Amino acid sequence: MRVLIADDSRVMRQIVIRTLRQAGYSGLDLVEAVNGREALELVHSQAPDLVLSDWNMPEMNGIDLLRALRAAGSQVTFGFVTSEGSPEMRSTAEQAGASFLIAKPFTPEAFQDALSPVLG
Amino acid sequence: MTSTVTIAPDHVVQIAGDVWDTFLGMPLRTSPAVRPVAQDQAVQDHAQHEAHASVHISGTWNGSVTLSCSRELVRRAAGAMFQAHPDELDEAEIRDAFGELANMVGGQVKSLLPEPSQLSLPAVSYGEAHAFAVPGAVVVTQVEMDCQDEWLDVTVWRRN
Repeated sequence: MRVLIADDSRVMRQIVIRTLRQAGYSGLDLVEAVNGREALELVHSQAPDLVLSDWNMPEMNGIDLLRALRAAGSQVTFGFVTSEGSPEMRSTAEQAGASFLIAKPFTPEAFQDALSPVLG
Repeated sequence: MTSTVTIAPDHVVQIAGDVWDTFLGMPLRTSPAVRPVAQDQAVQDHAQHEAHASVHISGTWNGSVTLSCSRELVRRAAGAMFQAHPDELDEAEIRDAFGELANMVGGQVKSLLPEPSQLSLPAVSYGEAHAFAVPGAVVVTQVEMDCQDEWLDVTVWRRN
């Protein structure tokens, strides 16, 4: 299972990776991107099974990344891990094709709840 | 025109406390007490603080959320987030962690406000006895907290 983590914050990428492990997801092949544009390229070149993306990022934000992926025909499973979890953002994410939105700060249990339907 | 919304100090305390508890394992205490600041205090003297991290909100509601604290607390917080000794971290990593704390607190504050609005990327500044201000904004809520005997202020500013 290959997971692409897109976040401009290095510490947040580390926390996401740590939380995946704490949630029981080990043995993952992890790929990191520092913005949406790099993530877009890595989805095409690395073919991840899941994208976990921040919303606010320089160069290309998370929602533009998701829309670009869907416009290009990619159906990769996509979830947001972001500091904002308002109903409007959740609706926007869902309409664009996101499977879930995890709001920061998050716990391993939040990861399990969001990821179990898509990772099993 | 920014709509008038009340952001209670208790909400800010809860938001910051959740972030600190969940990601840092460093409990916050309100000290000496939660205290709203007068609406007309547009410029705040942060001379006793040494580090600021802020995010800006623009849209239906316009303003900023600022974290101010000692450099020592920034170092400890970064160490907790990276799970490393602070001395092992470089300045870019410490700024990254502090900015992400502002991003999380600001994002949660934004969730209390009318939509639509946008959250900016965080900005971080350091300095000895320098003043921090958001021009054209008023302080709507400020809470003073204590973490491991170090100061932390969270301030919400509103632009009219």
